[in-house]
Amino acid sequence: MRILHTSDWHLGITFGGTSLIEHQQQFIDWLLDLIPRARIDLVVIAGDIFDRAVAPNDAVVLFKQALQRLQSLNVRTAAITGNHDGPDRVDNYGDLLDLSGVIIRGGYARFGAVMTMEFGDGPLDLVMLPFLDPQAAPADFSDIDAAADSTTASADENFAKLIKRTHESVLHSAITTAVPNLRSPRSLAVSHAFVAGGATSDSERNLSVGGAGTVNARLFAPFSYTALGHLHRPQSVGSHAGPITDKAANSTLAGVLRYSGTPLAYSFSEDHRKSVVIIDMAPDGSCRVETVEVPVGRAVFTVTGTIEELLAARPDHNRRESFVRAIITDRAVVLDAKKRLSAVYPHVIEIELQPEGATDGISINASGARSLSALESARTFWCAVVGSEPTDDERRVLVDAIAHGEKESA
Amino acid sequence: MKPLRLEFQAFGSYPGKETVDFVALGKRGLFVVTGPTGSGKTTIFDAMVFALYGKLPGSRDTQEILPRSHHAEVNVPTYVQFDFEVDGVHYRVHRSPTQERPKAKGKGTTRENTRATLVRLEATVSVPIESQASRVSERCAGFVGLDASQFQRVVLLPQGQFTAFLLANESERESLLRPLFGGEVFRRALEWLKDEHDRSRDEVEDIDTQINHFRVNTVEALRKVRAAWMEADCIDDTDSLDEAGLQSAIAVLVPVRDEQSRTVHAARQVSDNCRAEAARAMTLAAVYDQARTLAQGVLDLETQQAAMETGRARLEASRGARPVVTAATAITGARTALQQAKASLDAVLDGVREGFTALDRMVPATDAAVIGAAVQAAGEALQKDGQLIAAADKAAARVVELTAAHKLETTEFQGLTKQGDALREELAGRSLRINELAPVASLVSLRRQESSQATQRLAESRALQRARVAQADAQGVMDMARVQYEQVMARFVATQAPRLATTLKDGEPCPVCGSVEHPAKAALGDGENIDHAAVDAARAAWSAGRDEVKKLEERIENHILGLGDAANRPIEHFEQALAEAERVLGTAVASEQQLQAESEALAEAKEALAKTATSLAAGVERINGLLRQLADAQTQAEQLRGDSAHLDAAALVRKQTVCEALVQQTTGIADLFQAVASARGTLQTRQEALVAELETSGYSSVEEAAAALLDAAQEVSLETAIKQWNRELATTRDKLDVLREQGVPDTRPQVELLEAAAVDAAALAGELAATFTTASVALTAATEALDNVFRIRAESASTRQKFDTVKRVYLTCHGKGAGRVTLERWVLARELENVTHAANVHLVRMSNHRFRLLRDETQGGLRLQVFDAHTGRPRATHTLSGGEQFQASLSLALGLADVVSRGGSASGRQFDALFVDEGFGSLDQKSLGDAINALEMIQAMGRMVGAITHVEEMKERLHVGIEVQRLPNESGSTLKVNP
Repeated sequence: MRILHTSDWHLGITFGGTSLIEHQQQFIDWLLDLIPRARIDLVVIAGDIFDRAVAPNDAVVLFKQALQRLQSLNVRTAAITGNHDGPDRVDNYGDLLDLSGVIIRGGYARFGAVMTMEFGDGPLDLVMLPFLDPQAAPADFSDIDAAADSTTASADENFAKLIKRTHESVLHSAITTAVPNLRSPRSLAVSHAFVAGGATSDSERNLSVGGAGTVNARLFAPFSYTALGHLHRPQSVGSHAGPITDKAANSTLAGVLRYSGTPLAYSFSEDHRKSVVIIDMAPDGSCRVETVEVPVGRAVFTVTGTIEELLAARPDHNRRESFVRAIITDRAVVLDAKKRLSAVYPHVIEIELQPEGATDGISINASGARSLSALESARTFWCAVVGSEPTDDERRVLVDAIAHGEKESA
Repeated sequence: MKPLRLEFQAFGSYPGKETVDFVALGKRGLFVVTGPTGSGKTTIFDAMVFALYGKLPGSRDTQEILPRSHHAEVNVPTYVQFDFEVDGVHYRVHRSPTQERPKAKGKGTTRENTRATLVRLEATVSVPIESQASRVSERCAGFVGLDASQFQRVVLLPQGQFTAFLLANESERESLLRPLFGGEVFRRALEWLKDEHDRSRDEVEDIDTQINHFRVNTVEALRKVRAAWMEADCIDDTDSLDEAGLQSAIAVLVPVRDEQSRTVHAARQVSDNCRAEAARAMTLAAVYDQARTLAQGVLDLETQQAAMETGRARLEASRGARPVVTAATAITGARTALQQAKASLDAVLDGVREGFTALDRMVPATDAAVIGAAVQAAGEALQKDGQLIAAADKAAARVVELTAAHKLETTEFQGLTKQGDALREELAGRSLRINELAPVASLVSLRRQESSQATQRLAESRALQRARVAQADAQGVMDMARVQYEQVMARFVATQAPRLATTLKDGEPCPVCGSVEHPAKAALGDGENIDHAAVDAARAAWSAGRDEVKKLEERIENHILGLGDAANRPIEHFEQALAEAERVLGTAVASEQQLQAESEALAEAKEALAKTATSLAAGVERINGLLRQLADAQTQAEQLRGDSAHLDAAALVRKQTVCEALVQQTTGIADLFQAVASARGTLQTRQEALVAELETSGYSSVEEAAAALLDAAQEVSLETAIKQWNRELATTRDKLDVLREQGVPDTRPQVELLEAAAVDAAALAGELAATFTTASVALTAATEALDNVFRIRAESASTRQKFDTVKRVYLTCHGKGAGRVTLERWVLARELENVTHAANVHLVRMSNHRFRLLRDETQGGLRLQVFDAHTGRPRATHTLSGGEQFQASLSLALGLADVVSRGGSASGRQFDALFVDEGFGSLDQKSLGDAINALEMIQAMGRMVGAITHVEEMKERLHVGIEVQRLPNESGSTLKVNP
């Protein structure tokens, strides 16, 4: 069977003040053209379908049309929610959609469930692992880790574990719940998570502050293929982690973990090629993976130089069609930089002024804002306005005036 | 400052104890504080402010916020405890407000004053720092680096004011910056400078006014000098002179004054001489005039000498005639007295005659004793007649009195007779009624018996009915018991075989068939094991039912027997019979009571009739007595009327009056006779005395003596005039002699001419002196005034110099001097520059390098603009979109926090916590997204950001860290903290 893995569509996102909804539409058109040609049986979307919990209307309509077209192609779809999605909104009609071959999962509702799907070459166990906020867990939720020890641990210890609930502990619980129910020779996990070791981009939103929120790649060892979402750069992770031994799974099966990345560039740090992943999975779960570059949307790149240098450039068609960040190094103020650069780069969307040789003009410390006493302020004022130090008599009057001002304040 | 933990109790809308662990929330970085409007979201912040500064943020709306929760139980005290970290040191401040607490013993409350403690928490111990409430606030402000208003401004970005700072105009921005950067100090300093300048200026103006005043005085005085002395014309017109000119003019005038002084002295000498000469002449003229007057007086007196001699002769003649005239006058008096005495006696005698005539009695002789006896006799006769008439009148009155008494008694007797008749009639009526009531009343006991029987029968009837019902029920129970018994019996019979089977044992013969083998034992089904006991019990139940029925049937028979023929009648029949019997009994009892009342009334009437009979007998006796007395009185009255028939009562009264008058008239008649005799004696003696006087005097007759007599006043007047004249003449002659001895001039001196000369000389001297005084005083005044001018000018030199300095400083600091900007504005602008720099660190990041805040130096220094890298030009802040405004506002707020906290006692302090209060509701979808992205960026920089909101999308996209929930029944709120 053949699986197409994509993620992080972020429908409705804006970049540099520009809506990308048209490019996203083009991507979906291209994808729907690719699917029959590539003989895809199952399309997997690994979270962050929408950019915001409350998505704009055109984004919702676009996604609905995509699902309708996928269904009309007789291709099954499995999608989960990511940290940007509102899980309750996206999962709202999940049960009804199941009937039409579209499986959408979000939130804790069907935590750790295993779904067996029949394909021409045999069954596939599907485990949907949407992004789960550890703190948003329902009241009756208990982690496997905590529950396992509940007979021996004191109530305080259990509570402490609940408090220490993390992305990893929740994900671990879900997977531990699912693994005993795996019946088929091959399995597919769909997850939205930050697997430790992955490379980040500027447009990802932290799952939690301070780097916490990463999960260990070993968690996904029981699955033949894990379709990951969250990181915007396409990449494999954990494939060189060596043989994995896991208490829960007790399996030596080394699965494939992969981020498909976003279909389009959403920040200037994403100057890599965007792609989707096609997996050819044998009945025993062994996978052959290939990537297909997305040919639509604009690439991103950054140019640096004086305005004259930048205006003198003769970029090729590809670059002209890209989103451009211009770092201008002129010492003098550059007027209408964006307008002028548009002639060379029609899609310049970010201008940054970095005068050459200047210290960082916006650093707090560089502003030299030492706090002055009221009297010092008055003296400075005098020098600035009169052009000379106050005479002794003038200084005495200033001292008196400030003293009176300070006395009445106190 | 980094908040660590907040704990408060009975505070604001929270009745209980609430804890917020900021350390756990801080791991989240960005979280949302939600809850219904007005439930107390900002109270969390208020509690921090209260803990640190002991006061609450100024009321956000009109309502005053009180720390104490009015939802709290009385015994739950209000307090706030706040843990925070500054420069790695952990502090804990604990504060409770002034509040009422229940007394430890007894009822009522006691007032507990506000308390606060500040400690430093170390690994195992807490080190006290301060425990006096106000000092705690000061120390907190020191550690935090902000005062209360700065804290509120910097740590909480409040509702509605979020974008205010960005969009404010300069004066609004100035008033926002002022409290944060001590602008008040400069504002007050400027006010003080203005006051000082005005005060100093007034002082200098006062001095100038004084100098001018004295200069004008000098000029005026010198003008007066010029006007007085012609010699002073040597100086110039003073109006045009400066102070030095005035001084030299005065120097010229001093010798002129000395010369004028000498002239005045000489004129005064001449005047004195003239006045002395005139005075001497006037004295001599007076002596001359007096001597002339005296000489004329002597001549006038000497002409009166002859008249004085004649007067003296007349005086002596009068004195010789006086005794003769006196004696003649005494005779005339005695004659008149005799005539008067005779007239009095005759008048009395005339009255006596008239009186006796009126009494029809003979007139007595003219002698005092005879007249008295006759008057007494007449009085006695009249008295006797009066007594007879009075007796007759009294008898007649007695007859009238007795007749009236008889009539009264007769009337009373008739009344008593009528009363007796009425009583007899009443007696007859009552006897009749007693006879009627007696038979009915006698039946009372019989009726009572009947009523009691009816009651008994009714009870019997009811009991019968109850027994019949019970019997029917018992019948039913008995039937049921019988059926059950039959069923039990049937089952018992049916299960005989299996029961028997249970007793069978292998090898022992069956009691029925004798077989020792029991291949197919009947088996008992569930519940079929019926034994003898069950059968007996069922039978006993049936038998008991039968007994019960029988017992009840017997009871029914007894009741029917008791009721007899009426047994089958319904209960209502017995109820009606009882009602009728009770009604008849009621009638009999009423009759009995009435009979009793009538008998008592009859006895009372009989007693009254007996009393009336007694009264009638007594009446007859009294009437007869009265008739006897009346007959006696009439006889007596008849006799008296005959005796007094000849007397006229009216005439008698008249005579009595006359008789009384006579008695009065004749009382003093003896004295009158004596007086006439005495007057005759006196007349004769006096006629003899006159003859003797005439002989002594030398006058021939009484008439001659009377002609020479002067009256006493004429005599005194004449004598006084003669003495006066003698004295006057002597005195005048003496005075004239004295004057002549002293010397009298022959002619009168020329007084008027000499006096005129003296007046002229004095006038000239006075005029010269007055002019000199005026001019001299004016010159002195001019000298003094000019001295004052020089003195004041010297004394005020330092004041004037000080004013110049103050004025310079004042104008400069108020922006009216070299620069066009005030000190305060300049300082605030400088701080705003710092804020702008700090804000740009954030804004550049949020706007992807597009925007940067700029302070416009040209416009008073407080105007903010946004530099747009896309165009390279500044823009007005209000041209930003909603989301961009949010970014800029948030950046400014953060910049403000950075700069203000650096203004504290230590440098480099950062605020690790920031609360954004609302401001999200007004953003459109895209702007809200930008705003959330901006907040996420702040969070990424390691700051804890709490967004207080109820915007749905915020709650969905961001972690709900603190949830405020209302307690039921409007009893306040509580917190749910999700770490």
